[in-house]
Amino acid sequence: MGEVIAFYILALIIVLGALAVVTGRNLFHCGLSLAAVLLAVAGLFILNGAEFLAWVQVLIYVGAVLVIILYAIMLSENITGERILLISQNRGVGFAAATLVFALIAFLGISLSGLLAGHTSSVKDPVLALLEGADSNVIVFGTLLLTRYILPFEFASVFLVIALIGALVIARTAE
Amino acid sequence: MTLTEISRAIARFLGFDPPTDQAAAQVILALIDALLIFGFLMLGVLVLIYVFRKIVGFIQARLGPRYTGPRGILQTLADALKLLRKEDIIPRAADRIAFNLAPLMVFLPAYLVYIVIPFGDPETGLVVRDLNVGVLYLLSISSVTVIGIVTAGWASANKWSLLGGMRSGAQLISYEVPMTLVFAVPVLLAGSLRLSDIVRAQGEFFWQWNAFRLDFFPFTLLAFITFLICALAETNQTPFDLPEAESELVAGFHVEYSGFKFAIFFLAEFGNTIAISAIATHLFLGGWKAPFPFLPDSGFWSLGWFFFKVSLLVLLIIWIRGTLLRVRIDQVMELGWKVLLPIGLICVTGVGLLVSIRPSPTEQAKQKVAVVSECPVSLQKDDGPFRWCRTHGRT
Amino acid sequence: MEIGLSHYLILSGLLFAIGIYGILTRRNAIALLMCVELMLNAVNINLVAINRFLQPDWRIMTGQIFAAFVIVLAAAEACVGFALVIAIYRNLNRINVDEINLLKW
Repeated sequence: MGEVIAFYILALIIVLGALAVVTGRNLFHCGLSLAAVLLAVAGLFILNGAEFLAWVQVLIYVGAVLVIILYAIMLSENITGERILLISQNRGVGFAAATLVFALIAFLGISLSGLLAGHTSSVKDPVLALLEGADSNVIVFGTLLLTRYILPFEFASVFLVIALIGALVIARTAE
Repeated sequence: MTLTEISRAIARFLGFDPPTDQAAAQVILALIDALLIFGFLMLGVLVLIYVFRKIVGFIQARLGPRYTGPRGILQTLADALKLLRKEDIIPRAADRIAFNLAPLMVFLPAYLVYIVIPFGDPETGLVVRDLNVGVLYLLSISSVTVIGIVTAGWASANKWSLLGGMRSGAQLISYEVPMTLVFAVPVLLAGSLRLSDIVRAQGEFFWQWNAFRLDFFPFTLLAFITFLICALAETNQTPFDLPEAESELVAGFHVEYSGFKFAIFFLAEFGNTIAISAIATHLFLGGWKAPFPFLPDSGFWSLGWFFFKVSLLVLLIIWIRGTLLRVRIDQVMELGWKVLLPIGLICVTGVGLLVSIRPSPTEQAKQKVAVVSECPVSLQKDDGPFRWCRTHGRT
Repeated sequence: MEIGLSHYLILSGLLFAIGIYGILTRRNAIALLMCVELMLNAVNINLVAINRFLQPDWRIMTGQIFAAFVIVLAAAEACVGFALVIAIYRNLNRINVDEINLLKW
């Protein structure tokens, strides 16, 4: 029961917040709505037993990405109070496309989730031997990340360095 | 009596006896917990502000508050009441929604942080929720503060508040990076993100606490000092109180705030000071443990030791605030990125290397290695680069 | 009543569709990037929910780890994307993507 209530509250926040992000006229309010959506998504992660991921989401999305967004908004509004009013165009096309995508995803989701519900992999994963006695989400996450997923993990760090240097070079003012 | 028991006692006093398993009862107990934490925060901040004014007065050869109540004890209360009764002014050009939301966004993280901080030995029940992601929770919750501050600065539609907000945001973000790095040091030493595990992993004598321990000597002490500097910056204390530098920015991001909302900003700032001292206590100073094992530190003694250490740290922060000058904004950035960040990296790398080479004292790690040696060779092969040093150092 | 996989799939589909709507109708570059973040979050909800409902052993959290990589990707994307926006705004003084048409001359 608790999960049902929590799910619907979070889903409501997500959908309303997302609608505010795409239809709002004040860019800064859009950013704040995005913060609400991101926090609610973190709540959904907790609901699904992904505590570590949830707090990583808050730390990275809300603490870092959203701050970048707010800074970009402030810098692009000439610092002083020149407010940009957002204009939406091609609303009909956008609505049609969004409905189409949603219909497709919902159809696939419902049919597939019915199809896959009973079908779970019965092959014993060899990585389980490493996770013997692991009792917390964090331990399992870290063990998996540093054993089976070590290559993507290292690649992600290189990727982040590339992105960092790239962003610095792009945003730097010319001497 | 544990915090939960206190909550239950209060619930019983209010006229109903909650069974433990019902969801509604859980919610009510959680609400009472929340109220208790809120009361603690209020009381702590009231006391802190009084102590702060007295000590800064002493440092500056003044007397501090004197007239309201005996030795001016009620001065903070009177100030708080004055702030609550003030007119709530919203500038005409301000963005009303964001302007009203910003104090809440600054206050909530300062309040929610206390959920995972044990106020003493958790076995006595002096913690609300001892989450297994405790340290990560602290980091992520306190990073939400930045958004509130930037919003406050932007929504006021005032040059100074905007500049103050942007400065504050830049400062908080910059110092979050070395802070995150040095948070990793106690986590590496304890092998857990849970705050109570981190405290338990520290020894009984005070030279075995993370800040002073000799087996990781330069790294942990460096990490502790880095943490303290970052803590000063994160809580906007002098020498890093640039976001509200009076001489340049009037009052920074809260220029336009008055009355209740200003009080909330003030409350959040001092609440953060207490919280960050508590976190430093748990991560580096042995939490609720007494400095020597023959001193009592079980049960409610742990509460006493915890508050003793937190008070010492808070006093240190006040002392620094009363003594040092404010630094320039470029110096702040330079210190953060060019000094503290490399130091943080060195600490994490050094401690990580030492931990992976040395045999770990905890049983859990041993079991894990035993499991690894039992599992098939094909798994051992793609087992990560550090496993080699670990097994090598052990045999 | 119980929350099943299909609830999560529909929610994430809705979020994704809203993101698509935003991408198609917005002109402001920052708003566009925000819509991209929405869509990435929809993907993350999907990954985590599918991992929970279709993997009986909670210790095999492939979906969660994949979601973590998506978060890393989103952080990198945001940082480069907003650097581009700031650079464009500084040079052309424009923020709307349909007005940045120097190459059309």
